[in-house]
Amino acid sequence: MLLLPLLLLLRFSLNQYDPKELMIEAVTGANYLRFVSDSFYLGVLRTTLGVAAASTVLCLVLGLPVAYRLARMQGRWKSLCMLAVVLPLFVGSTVRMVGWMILFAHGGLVDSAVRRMTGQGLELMYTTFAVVSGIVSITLPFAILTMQSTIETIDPRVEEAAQSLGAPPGRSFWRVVWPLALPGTATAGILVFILSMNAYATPYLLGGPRFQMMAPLLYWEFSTNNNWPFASAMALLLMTTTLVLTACSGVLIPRRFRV
Amino acid sequence: MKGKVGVGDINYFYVCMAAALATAGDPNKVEDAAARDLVLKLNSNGLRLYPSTDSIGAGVKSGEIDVGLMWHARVLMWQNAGIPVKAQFPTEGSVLYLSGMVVPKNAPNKAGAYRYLNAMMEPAAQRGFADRMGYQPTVTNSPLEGALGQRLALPDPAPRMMLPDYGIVGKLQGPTSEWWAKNVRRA
Repeated sequence: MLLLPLLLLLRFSLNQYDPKELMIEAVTGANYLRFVSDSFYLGVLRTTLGVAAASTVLCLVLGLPVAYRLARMQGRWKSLCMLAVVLPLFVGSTVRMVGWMILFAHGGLVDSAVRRMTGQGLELMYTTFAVVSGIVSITLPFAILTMQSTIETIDPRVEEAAQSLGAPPGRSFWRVVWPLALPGTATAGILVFILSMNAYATPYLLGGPRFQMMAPLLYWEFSTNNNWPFASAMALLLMTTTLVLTACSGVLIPRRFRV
Repeated sequence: MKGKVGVGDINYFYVCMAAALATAGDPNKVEDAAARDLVLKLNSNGLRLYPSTDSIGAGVKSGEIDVGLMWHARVLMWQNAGIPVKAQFPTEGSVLYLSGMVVPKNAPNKAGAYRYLNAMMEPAAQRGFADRMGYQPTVTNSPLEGALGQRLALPDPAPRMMLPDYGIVGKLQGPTSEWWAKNVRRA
């Protein structure tokens, strides 16, 4: 189920493209060579990596305090707060992006409010800020839920023990909770990074055509240019880059904290 | 007009054809240096690129842009949706959009496919397309009358209509797309 489509993608990526015949059976590495030898495509990959890295860092920074608070909550409030975190996942990402578009668009809520206050508008649509905000809004619940489930398994008594030995709350968190939560935090980071690398609707709708990321670009090659071999090569290169970086992320966690 | 002109990214080939029409009088000459220079000049003058056709309509409605390049039919759809916009046919000429339908060789129900195609050519269906989508009839036995006819009427004298050479379009689409991505989108 998973392997066969990937094998098919690999086979397509070795074919040749012809404007009339579309895809001609061949065994060539020309599509891969075209990508890695062209600074334009490498630039798009760099932009994708930058956006994914920024989104991952933001999700971890914003999500960790929320996850910790949720993990230590009890009773009815916990259920309500969990529901508030999960609720955005009930709405499709494209629909959520339309919401962001209404917020960021020319004459939208932000633009109108700033214009009323300063006399000048604020165009956020089609900016890096808009794309990262959109991606973070989609991936943050995944990060929070992953980290919350890990922190919940950490016995609160270990924190109490640290505090009874004189450590203030901040220090007990960094010296006791943080190292124990690190594997779960890394999993959350990997999850967010993978989702961000493959983001399609957000860069397409909030970034616009000038903000080029891998997923919209490869879809353009596939659907508009009908160049399936090159689109397949791009898809495999994106997947490989994501997998390699994900595998390498393990080295960021000190050996003694790895599960 | 700086920053007040917008086009759809997906219509990149038609933007290039419009530039070729303006510079060479031939919509097929999209690779001519003069046509490309004109596109780059338009781009450097604050051209707004929209990801989808409907987002151009939103740009017109919000006052973000004043002028764009769009299908006549789509302008009529926008008018139906209450967007204050008018269509103007350039004196250099207008590129015709030809939408084709085919029955694949291996279609499992060819008779049904032909019935569908025939139904599309019925006057009632043609009037429906015209009313809802702003498409001019593709058959001769379906004249548009009354308010609908007035809404879709072409100006007098008739605008200069040009049909691109699809053999050339097919060959140039890939290279033009790459040039557009590298030089217009990225700039």
